[in-house]
Amino acid sequence: MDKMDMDGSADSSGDTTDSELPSHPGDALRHRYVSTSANARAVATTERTSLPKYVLHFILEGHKAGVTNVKFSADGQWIATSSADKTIKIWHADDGEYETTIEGHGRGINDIAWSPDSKVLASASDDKTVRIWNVMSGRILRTLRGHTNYAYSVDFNPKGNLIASGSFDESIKIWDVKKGVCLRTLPAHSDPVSAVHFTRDGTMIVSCSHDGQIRLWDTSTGQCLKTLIEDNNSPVSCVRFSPNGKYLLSGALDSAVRLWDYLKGRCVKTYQGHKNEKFICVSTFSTTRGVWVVSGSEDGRIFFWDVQTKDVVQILDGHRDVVLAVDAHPTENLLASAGLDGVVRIWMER
Amino acid sequence: MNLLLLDPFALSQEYPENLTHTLNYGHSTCIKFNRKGDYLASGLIDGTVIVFDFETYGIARVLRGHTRPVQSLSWSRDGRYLLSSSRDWKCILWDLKDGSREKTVRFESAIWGAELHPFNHQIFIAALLDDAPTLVDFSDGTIRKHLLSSTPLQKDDEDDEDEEDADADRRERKHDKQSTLVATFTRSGQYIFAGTSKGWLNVIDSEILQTVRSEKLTTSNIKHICFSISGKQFLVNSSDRTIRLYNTPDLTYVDPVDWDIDIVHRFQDVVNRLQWNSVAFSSNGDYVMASTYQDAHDIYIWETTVGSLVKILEAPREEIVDVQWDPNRTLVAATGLDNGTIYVWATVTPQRWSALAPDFVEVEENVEYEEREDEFDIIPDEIANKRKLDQEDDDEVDVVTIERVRGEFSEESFVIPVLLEEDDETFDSSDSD
Repeated sequence: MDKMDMDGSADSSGDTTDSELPSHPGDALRHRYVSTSANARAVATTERTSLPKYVLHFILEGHKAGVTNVKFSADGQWIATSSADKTIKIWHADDGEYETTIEGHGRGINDIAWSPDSKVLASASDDKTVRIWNVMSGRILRTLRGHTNYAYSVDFNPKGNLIASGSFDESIKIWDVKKGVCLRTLPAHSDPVSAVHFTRDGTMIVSCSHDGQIRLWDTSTGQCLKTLIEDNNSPVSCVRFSPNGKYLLSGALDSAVRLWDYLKGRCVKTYQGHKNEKFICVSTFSTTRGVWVVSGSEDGRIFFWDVQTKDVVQILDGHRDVVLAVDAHPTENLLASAGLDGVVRIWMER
Repeated sequence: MNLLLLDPFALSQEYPENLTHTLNYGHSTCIKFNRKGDYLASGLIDGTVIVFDFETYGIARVLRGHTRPVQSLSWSRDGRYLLSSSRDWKCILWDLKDGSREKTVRFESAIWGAELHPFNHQIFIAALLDDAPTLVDFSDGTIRKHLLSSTPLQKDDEDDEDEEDADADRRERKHDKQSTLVATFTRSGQYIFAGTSKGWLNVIDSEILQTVRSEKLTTSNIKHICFSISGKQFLVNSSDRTIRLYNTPDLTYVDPVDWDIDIVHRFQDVVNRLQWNSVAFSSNGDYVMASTYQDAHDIYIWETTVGSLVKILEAPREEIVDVQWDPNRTLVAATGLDNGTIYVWATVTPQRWSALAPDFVEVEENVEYEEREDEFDIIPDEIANKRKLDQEDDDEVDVVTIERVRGEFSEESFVIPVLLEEDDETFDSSDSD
C-alpha cells in the first residue's frame, strides 16, 4: 500500500506545463520593459537571474489522507511528509524511493521539523503532543506533553537542543530536547498559533497566529521583542525567517504573501496572484538558483515570485486539490509540494 | 541576531545582579566556559567532567576517565576539544563530538593546572608540583614533553646601574629554589606567562622554549594569571591578598627586554584582609571579579578604569572557589566549596510591554502629538492599497546575504551533538530557578 507510484510520467506530461499563466513570464518581462522605464533596475534584476523552469520530477504516493507538510532534511538526503492519516513517511530525495513510515500519533499530524543532523524528526499533532522520532528506526525518542489543545507547528533550533512548538491553545512552548521537558511557556497570542520558526543563530523565534499578529521572541529570556500587524488584520497562517535572518516571510488568509523588514516593522513586499483564504498554505524561499518566493495555492497550483520585482515568474500545475506545503531543497534545484490530494510532487529545474 | 531588538537598557547592564540558577550535578571543583559561552565544563571531585548546555541548563556530555578530583579545564578555540587535568597526575584531551578520549598524557608528579594553546589543540602547557612546567606537543602523533625553566632570567650585565642590588638579586635567585604554579598562553600563543612560588613572572617564548623576560611582581606565591578576552590586560592573583592588574606589553613588535609591564590597579580588601580564591575578567574586560577565601561567601566585582568596587555577589551558603564570567553574556558562574553546587548570576530583564503592540513606544516623558496633514483623509481602500504596493517597488531586498551585526559572536563554534538514545544520566537532574 505504501509503495509509491514511480511511474508518474504518463499523467504528469500534461499538467506540468506552465501554459496556464495569466501573463506568460516572458510577456511580463517585455511589458515591464515598455511601461516602466523608471524601474529599469528591477528589470535588470529579473534579466540577470533567468526565470525558474521547474518541471515534475517524481510523484510520491502512499498517504491515505491530505499531506500537511513536506520537508527536506538539512543534509538534503531525505524528504519527510506528514499527513492527516496520522503517519510520517520518509522518502529518498534523489530518486523518490519510499523508505519508511513512522506511526505513533493518535491523531493527524500538522507539522514536522528535521533536526540539524538529519537523524531526528519532531512532529506536532492533533493529539496535543509533540513527538521526537529516530528517523531510521522509527522509534519514539521523546513525547512532549503539555499543550492543552492541538499542536500546530514545530521547529528545531539550529543547534538541535531546543524545540519550539505552537498550539491551538494560543501558547508557544520551548522544550529541552534532551530531557524532553518544557523549559518555558509563552502566552504568545490570542488565537491559535499557526507557525513558529527559529532564526539562523537560534536567538529568536518568530510566531504567527490567527489573531493577525506576527511576534518575535527572545529564545533565552522568552520576552516578546516585536509585534507586526498588517492593516487588514487577516489571520496569518505561516511565517518564517529569510535565509539570512533579516526578513520575515508570512502568508495570510487574504491571499497575500508578505515580506517584512522586522527591524523597521514594515511590510516591504507583497506577493499576490494565488488564492489562500481558508487553509494554511506554507510559503518558502527557493535560493539554489535565483531567489524566488514559492507558495502553494488553494486552486492546486504553485506560484513562484521574483523576490525583488514581485512578478509571478512561474506557475506549476498538477495537484488536484489545495497545495498546503512547499519546501525547497537546501542545495539542489528541487522543490517538493504536497496538499489535500494526499500526493507529494517533486519538481526539478529543467 | 536578537541584539538589535533587545532593550538597550537591559543590554547596558554590565554586571549580573541576581542569582538565577543553581546546578547540582555532583560536587564541582572547577568550571570553564567555552569561547562562545553556550557550554560550561565542570570538573567534579570524583574525576568526572560534565559539560552543561547553558541554553537549557541541562547536561550535554558526561566524560569519565579521571579517578581523582579534576584540577583544571581548558577549551580549544573552536569548542570541540576539552583538556582536563586531575590529581590522578593525568591530563586528558576529550573530543566532544562523541565524548571519546583524544589523548591521555601522564606526568610524574601532581598537576597544578593545564592550558591548551589558543590555536592548536595538540599543544598544551602544564604547571606541575615539584617539577618544571612542561609544554606538551603531540601534533605529529607522538607525545613530546618539553621541560621549561622556573628560574628567573639573569639580567644582562650592562644593566648594572645598581651593582649591589643586582648582586643581591642574583644571589637570591641562586639560593631560592622556586617552582612554577601557573602557566598560561598569551592570546596569540606566542608566549607563555608563568608565575612562580616566589612571586616571579617568567615569560617563555613558546617557539624556542626559552625564558625571554622575568619580572618580580610580588614576594609571595602567584596563584593565578589570567588574560582578558582581548588580551590587553592581565591579572595576577597572589597569596599576599592582592590582585594586581597589568597592561599587557606590545608582545609583537617590542623586544621582550624593553617590555613595560605596567601595573594599573591593586585590588584588595583593606578591612577584612581577605585572600582571593579565584579571579576572572568580565566578558568585555571592563570588570574584574574575585571570590573570597573562607567565611565571606562573596564575589567582589571591581571596575577596571578607576579600580572601584561596584558589586558584591553573595553566595547562599558556602565559600566560593572557582568563578567564571560568560564570554558573551552578562552572566557569572561560580562553584561552592562545601557541596560543589554551581551558582549562576545573571541579569533579569523586565518585560517590555510596548513590544506586544506594534504602534506603542515607551517614552520618558509626555510627547506632544502632531497630527499628520493627511491623517484623517478618507482614501478608498483600492487607492491606499495601490499606493502601498507602488511604494514597495522602491525597496531593495536581499534575503540571502548574511550581514554581521556588531557585538555578535560570529565565529564558527562547535555544537555538541544532542544524544537522545544513550542511557539517561544517573545524576539528579533537578535545577531550581
